[in-house]
Amino acid sequence: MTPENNNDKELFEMWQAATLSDPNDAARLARAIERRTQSFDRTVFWRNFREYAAGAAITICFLVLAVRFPQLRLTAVAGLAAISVVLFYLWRNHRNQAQPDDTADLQSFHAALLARYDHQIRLLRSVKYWYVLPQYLWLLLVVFQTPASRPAARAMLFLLSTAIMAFVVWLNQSYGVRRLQREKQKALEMLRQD
Amino acid sequence: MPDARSFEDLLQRFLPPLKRLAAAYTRDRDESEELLQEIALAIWTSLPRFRGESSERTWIYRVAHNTALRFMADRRRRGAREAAWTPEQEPVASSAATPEQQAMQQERLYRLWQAVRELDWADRQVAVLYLEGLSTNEIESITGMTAGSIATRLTRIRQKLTLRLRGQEVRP
Repeated sequence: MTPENNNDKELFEMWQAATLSDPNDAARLARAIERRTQSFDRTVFWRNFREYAAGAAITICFLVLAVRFPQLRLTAVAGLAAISVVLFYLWRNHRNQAQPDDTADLQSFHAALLARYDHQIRLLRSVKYWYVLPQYLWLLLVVFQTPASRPAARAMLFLLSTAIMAFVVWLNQSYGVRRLQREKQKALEMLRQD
Repeated sequence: MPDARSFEDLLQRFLPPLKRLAAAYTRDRDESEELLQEIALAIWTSLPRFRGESSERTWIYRVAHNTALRFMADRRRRGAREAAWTPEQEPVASSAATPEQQAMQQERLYRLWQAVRELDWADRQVAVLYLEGLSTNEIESITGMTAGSIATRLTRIRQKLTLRLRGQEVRP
């Protein structure tokens, strides 16, 4: 853009002549970014490794239970199924979640940034179906497999399972959603006015 | 993985405007350096997707502004509070004949930066791009705003900056 008058010209010159005193030069910055990327890649690798290792350990435990204790086979298989449902849902959800594109124009970027909050809010609101329900069904199976000769233990296990799952639902749907809504509101306010 | 050499060349060419952009969006020097690193990282990760459909300059500014926006949203979310820029930390005027002239230039530069930081987000985006000398078409392509909206904003921005440079208060 060319300056429309002397006043604009003065603004342009002042702005563009301003130098910042910090010693960040391009080569140093480029090296810092390369190091950071490598370190980030390592962090992601080990995080993924830990998650997969934990999943593998649980699967092995259930498989060992199913093979070595035939009376627990149903519980073990159901446990595997419950965990598989949760992990599959998370994996699919993570894969389908669009990240804001850094190269998009600013208005599209604003919209994508806000859509991220909506996506997370939807995820938390539906937690009772994809996270709690499979695990609760599995816990109910465990409860009903507890010998009928021990009704107190059965009742206690049932109440405990129900209370924990109800707490998880409350934590996500009330506290978690409210927190995300506040964050979204802050982001909206920032976009309107800094 | 992008080519390290072309990345460094790109940074070399765009470092001064990127530093000014980072300083315009932040509240202190540490935050400004942190944002500059975030911008460089975003350029590094987006570089393989640059197909040359827009000019290099437009593309760099898009990535930089989007990163600044995300960076500030994250800072807000974490409720971070920073000390304000002090005149000693501000960008400095490049040259002046006498110490008196230099002091005067510095004072005006300080006012200009303060005025830019007081603008709301959308106006600040337009102001920074305008002051870097980008055309209306380029600003349109970076911000996604219409030419009419950019023109209206620019009129308002010019008035505010000019008033602040003259040392007058700007009414919201």
